Amino acid sequence: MSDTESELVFETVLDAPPEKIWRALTIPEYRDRWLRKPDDVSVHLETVNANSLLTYRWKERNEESLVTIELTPHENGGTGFRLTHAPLVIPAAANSNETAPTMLRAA
Amino acid sequence: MSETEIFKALADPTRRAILERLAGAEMNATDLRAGFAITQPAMSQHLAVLRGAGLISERREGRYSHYRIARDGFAPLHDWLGRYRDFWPSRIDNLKDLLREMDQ
Repeated sequence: MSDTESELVFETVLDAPPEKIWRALTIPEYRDRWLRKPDDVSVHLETVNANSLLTYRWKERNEESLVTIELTPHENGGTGFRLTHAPLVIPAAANSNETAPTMLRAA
Repeated sequence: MSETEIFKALADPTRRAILERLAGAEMNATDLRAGFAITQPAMSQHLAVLRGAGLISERREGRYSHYRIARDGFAPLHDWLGRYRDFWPSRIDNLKDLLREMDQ
């Protein structure tokens, strides 16, 4: 880990089609079963692009962060799963000069 | 310094880019601003926010200020990252288990 690293990325391949994973991520009864969030965290579904991209807004006491999950279908029936957890800024915008589409706090 | 202050400082893409640039070496404000499409006052303000959050330190040398990463200042962020570095792999395992149990 570098000293200025400020986000976490996890990647894996899931043995299920994107539509099924999507239900596990977005239907609250399913989500609660795998997520088991800490008691002091509240989670809100923030942006959605069905079956491919979602963001949970992650509130923990005073800190807010974003959990972004990207799903990529594979030809063999599996699905690429990429989870990014970062403070405040949509990671895709971090290296551009454009205003991030979802800034949680104004500077 | 609290995680909250650090998160606020990191909320801005320009400030994140400044930190990336400083990760390599100490720089003065003029060199630091090269390549950024922002004014000198705007850069000063970003540097002030980063200093306020304890993420960079300033060293004066004559007319010039030099900036560098304040390594200790990242400790709360590293604590936060460490918490979730342990958290997510177990959750992804839970998700795999759930997918096996779910109907198609």
